[in-house]
Amino acid sequence: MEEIKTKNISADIALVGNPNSGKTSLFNALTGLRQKVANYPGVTVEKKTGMLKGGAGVEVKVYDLPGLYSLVPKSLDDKIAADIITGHSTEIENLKLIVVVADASNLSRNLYLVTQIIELGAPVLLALNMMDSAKTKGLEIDVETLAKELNIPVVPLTANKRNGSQALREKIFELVADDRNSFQNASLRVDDEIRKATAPICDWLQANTHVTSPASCSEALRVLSNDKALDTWIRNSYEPNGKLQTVVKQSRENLARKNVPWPMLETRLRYQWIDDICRKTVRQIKQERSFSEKIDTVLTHRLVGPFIFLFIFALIFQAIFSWAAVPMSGIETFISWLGNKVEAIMPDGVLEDLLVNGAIAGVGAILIFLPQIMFLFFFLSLLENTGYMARVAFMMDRFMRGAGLSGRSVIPLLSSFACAIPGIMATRTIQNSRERLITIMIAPLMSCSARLPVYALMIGAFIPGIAVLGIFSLPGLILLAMYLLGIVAAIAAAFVLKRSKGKKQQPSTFIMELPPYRRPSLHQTFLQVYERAKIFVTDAGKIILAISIVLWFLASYPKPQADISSSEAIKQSFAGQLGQVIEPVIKPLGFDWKIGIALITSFAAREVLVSTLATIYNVEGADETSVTLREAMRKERNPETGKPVYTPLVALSLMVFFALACQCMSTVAVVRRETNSWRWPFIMIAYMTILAYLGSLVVFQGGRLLGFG
Amino acid sequence: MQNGGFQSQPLMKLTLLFTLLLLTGFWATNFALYFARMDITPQSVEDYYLGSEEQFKMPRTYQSMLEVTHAHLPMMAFVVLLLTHLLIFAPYSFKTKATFIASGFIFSLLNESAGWLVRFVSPHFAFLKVAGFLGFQGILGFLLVALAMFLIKSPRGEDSASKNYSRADKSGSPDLNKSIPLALLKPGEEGTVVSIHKNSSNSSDLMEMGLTPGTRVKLVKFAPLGDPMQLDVRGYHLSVRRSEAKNILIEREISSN
Repeated sequence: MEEIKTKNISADIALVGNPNSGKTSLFNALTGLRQKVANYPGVTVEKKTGMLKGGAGVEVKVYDLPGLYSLVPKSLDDKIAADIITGHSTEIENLKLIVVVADASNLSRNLYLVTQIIELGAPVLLALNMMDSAKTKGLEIDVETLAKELNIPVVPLTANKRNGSQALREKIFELVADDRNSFQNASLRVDDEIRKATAPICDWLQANTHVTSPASCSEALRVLSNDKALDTWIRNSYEPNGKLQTVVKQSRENLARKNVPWPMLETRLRYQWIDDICRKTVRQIKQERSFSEKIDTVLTHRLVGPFIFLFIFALIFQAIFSWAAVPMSGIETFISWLGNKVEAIMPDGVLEDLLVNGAIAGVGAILIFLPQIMFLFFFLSLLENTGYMARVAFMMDRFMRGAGLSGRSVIPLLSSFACAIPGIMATRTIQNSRERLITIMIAPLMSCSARLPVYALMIGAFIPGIAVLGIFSLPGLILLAMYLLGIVAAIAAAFVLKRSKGKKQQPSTFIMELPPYRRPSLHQTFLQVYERAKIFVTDAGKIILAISIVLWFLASYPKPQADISSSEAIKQSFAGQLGQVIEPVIKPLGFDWKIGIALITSFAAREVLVSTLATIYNVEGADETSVTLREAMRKERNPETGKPVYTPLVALSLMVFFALACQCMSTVAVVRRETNSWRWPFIMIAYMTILAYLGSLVVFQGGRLLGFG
Repeated sequence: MQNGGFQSQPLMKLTLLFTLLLLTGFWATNFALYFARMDITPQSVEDYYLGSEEQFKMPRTYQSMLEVTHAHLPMMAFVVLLLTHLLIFAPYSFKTKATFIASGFIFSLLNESAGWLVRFVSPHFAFLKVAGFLGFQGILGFLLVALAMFLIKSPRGEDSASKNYSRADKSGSPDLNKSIPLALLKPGEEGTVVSIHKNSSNSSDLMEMGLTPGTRVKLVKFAPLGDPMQLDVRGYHLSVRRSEAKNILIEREISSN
């Protein structure tokens, strides 16, 4: 903020509007690449700001507020936007102008929020977006009459084609420079009886809160007619002694006596006014079945729709599962090449070791996720911008409701079968922040691709290839069981999370707009991909790097003597000692201290288990298919009893542990980034570790009771 | 649209579900059998019918093919008949039904005849055999899934809140103008909102989204699993769950078609 002081004028403006009104593309058109993405303090709601392009000597900071339909908030995201607009929150200090974005092709419902906002009496500019869609829909809008009816400036434009955004920028600069204090915005006209009834509430608000006229009268009507609005005021603690509630109750009784039904009075009157405005300003010049509806007959067809969804999802899964493997192995090769180069150039020593095995390996651990994240967000952004995502939610809602979630969670959860990192980042498309949180918390239970090497090693070494029922094989069934275990655990976790947090909250609803299909803008898609990649590298990357260095330290200190093998070295390291310390704890699961070491090092990433075991058993360059490693593990004996350490039961117990535990520092880092606090990642580690421990315990001890192992 | 009503008879439903279960088994074993016999590549199909010297296989004889076809034809006929005639009562559009009925029979015919064509006309028809088999299995799988979904799903308008209305409807009351819950509209029908029950926390949200009394609303369709539903309100489309829509009373418009 400091550098702004030297400029002539500086101002903050807020961009608000309904979801799907093209607010994001307008924001991009106004600010270009000069944007910053952060979170609002303490919550998972994204806060986007950017500087307005152009305007010599004038610095205008644009806040892109979360989309909302009404000033009566239904979710945390809504509340943040509504509080800023109504002045409950002082998040934006120097708010000079509110730019309301409305979809011209859907004017009636968009005007609901617009008229609510203009009544607050603040300077408002209406950006009438999607003029082209309105035209193709056969609608003709009289912009001048609309401006006159609302008594605010209106700029028509088509933001995703950069049509009219220049005019909007100019208008913003003009209005920001305007120093008037009072604005004659239009407002809802009510008859005397209602005015009399709301007057006491209006007076109370003016006397006891920050609200002044004319906003107070508008708020008064809202509080009178909607309990949710009343609750919002009460929760904002404007109500030391229940006074507002008494005043409102009195007014409602007065109206009821005069046979005026008060519930949702504001909404009914407002839509009457809007209908009146629309009659004067909107003309339907031709009517035909919209293009969107034609597409919908196929894409959400009762039979074909789900198959198309599965096909599209299979494509996305293919992309993050196998196509991404190509750049990923490229990154891997590059990182190891870089490591070798540095190793060759630098003199042997601690610094070299830190750089190669700590820092470079850590950076590699960050970059390795980029291809998957970028692929997933490329597709997600396309699906979201075309409007198909809302259809996926529409089709899958019934399916997800069993787990207490809605259709919006489908894609993030399915993507987590490839990798939880992009899956968790994809939860951004879930508008309800509570549902988003639950989805984030259960996503790592989906069996991701990093668990496969662990399963492959254990199944390959210890599960005999017995045929079951003729067509199935035991290894295949066990693998399937691991995937199912994750899904069942996720459903259970969702259920518990919902219960524990949901008592005072309303049940999840699914009142969702199905926006018309639109052609996606490639520019916007790439912007989104770039933004996500950047956020991951800068925010989650820091944490991943720090944890990598800690894990490197644990695995390589204290420094071993020169002549011992790497197998001895890791046993003597801090990680090795820690493995021995935790042995009593993991013994009931059937694990010895060597597995304990592997559990600690594999917190970096699950597949590290394989390479750690290879180091411990002195097998050079082994992967999960290595025969020598399998042999070495099979031969391993317990020094006390002389029995094999690994039995099929131990292998099963270890697989169950990996299926359920949060053995992935990158997941932790990305949850920290997405929830904006350390609280949720810690809860996640705790609950998943307990779940894994109990799961393994039940498998191992139960198996022993039944006489296996 | 025909409505056999068999999906609301518990015993009928049980019988049909078990039949579908057995037929699903048939579907799976059909795959297994096919792979055991001739695999999916045109070359392997050719080898199966025309023999292969490398694999010491004899060409199929006229008599053995006749025996197989003789057994297959009635069995296929019964399976396809059973499934397609159930489809007639399911709530899918005429076009969908016609497509699946026709292609079910066509593919089973193709599947049978392609073997003969390969053996006695030209080995090039091996492609046709593979396509015929996959097409037949595809249609069969599709029918099984679609019918199972139809059977398992509770029939339209039977949830407790709307039971009274549907009963009134069935008694043949000519009074179509009486207000009914929104969920009882059929896809494509329109109506005007009369009232919204005020004692539900969703009703205020629905009204804010534009469903105020006097607003015209069209039920566009139901989601593939029967819930939620897609509405056309004030020129935009809104998805609402049945449970949320049961408090909306509307006056049905007598449609012209």
